[in-house]
Amino acid sequence: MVRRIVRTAVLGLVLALTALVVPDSTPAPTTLTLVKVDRAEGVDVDPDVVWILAAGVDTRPREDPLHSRADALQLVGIDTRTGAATAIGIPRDSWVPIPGHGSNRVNAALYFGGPQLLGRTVGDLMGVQPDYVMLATFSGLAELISGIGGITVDNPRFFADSHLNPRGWKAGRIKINGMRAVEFARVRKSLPQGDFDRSANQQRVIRGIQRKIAANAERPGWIEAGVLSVLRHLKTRGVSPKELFRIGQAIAQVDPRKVTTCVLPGSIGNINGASVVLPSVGTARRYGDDARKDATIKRC
Amino acid sequence: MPKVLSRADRARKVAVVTVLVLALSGCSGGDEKGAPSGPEPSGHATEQVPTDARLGKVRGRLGKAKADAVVAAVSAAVDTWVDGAYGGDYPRTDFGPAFAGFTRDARKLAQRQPGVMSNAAVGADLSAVEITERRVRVDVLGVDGRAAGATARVRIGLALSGGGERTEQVTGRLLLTPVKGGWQVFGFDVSRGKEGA
Repeated sequence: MVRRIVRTAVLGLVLALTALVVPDSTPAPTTLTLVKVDRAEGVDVDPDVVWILAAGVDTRPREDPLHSRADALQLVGIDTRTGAATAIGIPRDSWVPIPGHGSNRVNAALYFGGPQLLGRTVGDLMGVQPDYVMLATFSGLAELISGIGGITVDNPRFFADSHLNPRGWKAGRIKINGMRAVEFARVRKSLPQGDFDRSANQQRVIRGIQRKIAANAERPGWIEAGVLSVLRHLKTRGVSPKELFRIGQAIAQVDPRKVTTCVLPGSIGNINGASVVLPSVGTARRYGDDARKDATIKRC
Repeated sequence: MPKVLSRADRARKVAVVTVLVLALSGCSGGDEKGAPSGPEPSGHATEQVPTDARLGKVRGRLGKAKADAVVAAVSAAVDTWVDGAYGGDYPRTDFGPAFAGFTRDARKLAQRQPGVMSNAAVGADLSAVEITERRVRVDVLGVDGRAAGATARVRIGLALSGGGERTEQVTGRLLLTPVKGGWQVFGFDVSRGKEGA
C-alpha cells in the first residue's frame, strides 16, 4: 500500500472572513503591515486562490512605510486546495498607469495613494487584483528571517556590492540570514540584468523563507512560535492572532515543489530623461490569466 | 488519484518524520513531561480505546487551566472526526458526520480524499474496524492569556477487517482555531498507510 497524504489549509475562507483592514491613517512606523485591499464587487478571482502583493519598503525611522516608495514588488498567489504558489516579480522602475495620477514608476503608487493604490495599480497591470498588500521594511524583513533561523537560497552566480557586501555572495546553495539576506535581495547594479535579476533574487528569498517554514511546520510548536514572533512586529489594527495563525499555517502548507516564479519582462526606456522599465503588458496579462485559477505559471 | 500518488515519496518521509517527532516528544520531557496536562482519557464505547490527549507545546502566554481546557476541546473535535471517519458500524458508505467540526471548505477538501481522511473509499467492503490507538498532542498559541490557535498532532491506529485483515496508521496534524462553542478544523496535513510504514 502506498502511504497517502493530504494537506490543506483553507486560507481563502479565512481571508474572506478576516478584517485585516488597516486604514491609511494608521499611525506609522511599522515594520510589517498587512492591508486588505478594498474591492468594489465581483472581482474575477477564484476564492481558493489568494493573492498577496508583497512590497519591501526602504523607510527610515519615523517615516511612514504606508506612504513611501516600494523598493521590491512581488505578487504572490497561493492555491489553498493544492498547495501550489506563484510569485510574479514586478521591476520597481516599471512605467505604468497609476489610477488618478497619470503614468509613473509603479513604486510611486504607494507614495501617491498608499497600499490600496499600489494594489490596484499592480492589479491593473497583471489583470489579477491582490486581496492583500503586505508591506515589510528592510529591518522588519531582516528580523523575520533571523527569527526563523536564516534561510537557504540557490544563487545562480557570484555577485558582490561594493557598498552592501564587498566580499559578495558565492554561487550555489548558500545560507543567508538577517540583513544579509535582505541585502541579497537589494543589490541591482552588479547584476547583469539589473532590476530583473534583482527581482529574481527577491523570489529566491521568498522561496527560502517558505521552504524554511514548510520544513519546520511539523516541529511541535514551531508555527505557533513563528506567529508569536510575527505578532511582535506586525502592527495593524483589526488583525486578530487567530487569523494570523491561520495564515501562517496556510503558508506552511505550500508545497515547495509547486512554487513557480517569473519576473515580468520589459525593455529599458527613457521618460523625461529618466531611465525606466517599459513592462511587457501582454506578458503581464498572460501571467495573470495563467495563474488566476491555480497559482501556477506554466511558462515564463 | 494522481496528485496523491505523486506525493508518495514525500508522504513516506513526512510519515517517518512525524513518527519520530512524536516518539521523541513522548519521552523527551519539555512541555509534555509527566502526567497528562489535559483531561482524563475520554473513553467512549467500551470497545474503543480511550483517547490519550495531552498538552504539547504552548507558545505565548496561557494559563494552565485554559491550556487544559483547550486540550479537552480540541481533543473532542478530533474525536468527532476519528469516530465519524474511521469508527462506527461496517459496511457503510455514509461518512458525512465525520467532518461536522470542519469549516465548510475544509470539509469539502476532506471529502475529496476519501481514502485518507476517512474510510469512505473502502467502507462498503469492510466488515469491521477497530480503532487501536488514539494519540493527540495539542500545541497551542496563547496571546494575552487567550488561545488563538492550536495544532493537534494525531496518531490513529486502525485494524480493518473485510477484504483482508490489515492494520493501518493515520498520522498528521489538524489545524484548528476557536469558534463559538468549541474549536473548528480549518486545515489538515494527514497521511495514511500501513502501520509502521
